[in-house]
Amino acid sequence: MRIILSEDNDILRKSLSFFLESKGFTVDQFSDGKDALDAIEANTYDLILTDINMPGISGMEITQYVRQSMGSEIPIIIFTSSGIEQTELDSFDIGANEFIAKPISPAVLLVRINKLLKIRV
Amino acid sequence: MIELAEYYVSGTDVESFLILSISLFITASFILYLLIIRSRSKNIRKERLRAEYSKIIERLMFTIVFQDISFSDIQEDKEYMMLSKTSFFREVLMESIINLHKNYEGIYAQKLERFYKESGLINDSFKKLRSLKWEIKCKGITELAEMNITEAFDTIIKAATVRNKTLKITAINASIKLGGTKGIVHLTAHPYPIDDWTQVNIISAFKKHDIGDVKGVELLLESQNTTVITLGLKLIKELKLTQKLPYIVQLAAKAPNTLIQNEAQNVLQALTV
Repeated sequence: MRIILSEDNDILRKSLSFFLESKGFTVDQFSDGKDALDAIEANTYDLILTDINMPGISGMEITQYVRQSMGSEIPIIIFTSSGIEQTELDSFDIGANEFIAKPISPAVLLVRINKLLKIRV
Repeated sequence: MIELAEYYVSGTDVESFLILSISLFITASFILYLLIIRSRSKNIRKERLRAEYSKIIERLMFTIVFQDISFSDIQEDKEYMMLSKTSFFREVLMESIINLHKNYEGIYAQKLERFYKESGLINDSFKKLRSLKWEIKCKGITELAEMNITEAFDTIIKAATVRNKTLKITAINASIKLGGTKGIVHLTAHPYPIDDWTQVNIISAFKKHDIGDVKGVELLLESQNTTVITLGLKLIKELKLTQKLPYIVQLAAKAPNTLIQNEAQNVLQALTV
């Protein structure tokens, strides 16, 4: 299973990547939204994991582009440090499958990833 | 200065005067150039070291968080053994552990807290707390609060009574995180006015840390300091503490001034609608 992880916090991105790889996933990690979107367009992924606030393009814009311009139904998990209800509602509105507020639990994240991938299968 | 100008205009020893001035200028420029080069190379070296240390720290952190490895195993790590006493390594390690702790919860955060204590990083934070420089004190307070070190509560609460606004806000936020309402009850006897910015920070700290037990918030309404009463009213309103309504009714009946009375009535109205 190939996951794209887009997060600008270096240590969080690297640690999540380490964790997911230890669970058998292949993870392509990006700290810039634009680079992540280019990779999504160029490759095939099973799941997108993205932060909202990022340099280049935000996680919201990535989600919107994937759903509207690419017409893809690939599962998307958005995570952010914003605890605002409206942000969560907006994320679901533009097509995200899951929303996780930081701080996160990698174990919970894994359960949600597995759930989404199973649903897809 | 005038004498110097007159001496120059008189034309005596103009040549030697000019040579001396130019020499002084060149020497000063050269010294400044050397200082810039030194500072620049120091920064470059620091960045190189940071990148080097980050790799080691990431490896250690990920092992601690995602694999069941004890601190004694980490202590046996050759690179950790070599660098753990280096102050810059500890500084980078502290930044990384705090950063990761902010983003993780549950057992992952607990593992980081355990490492923070066992590695002695906690002592570095307490040392910062004793610093005379307010910015270093703030750093220590933030670190201790982030790692949920409740033993630091009494020391932190003392820092909340100072006049320095940034230090005060940092200390109050930390006290709220560590002790809930216990972190603000001392404000009842606060001698200085609490401005709007500080009040907003206190309210947002309550919201952010999701303080369930709000026992003692009503004590703020009994303060002699009207800005503390206003803070109490705002907290009750923002957190929708309807159980505190009887205290507001009492305040509205014997408010120290009409402004407070109006504010109390507004809160009553907002919470009873």
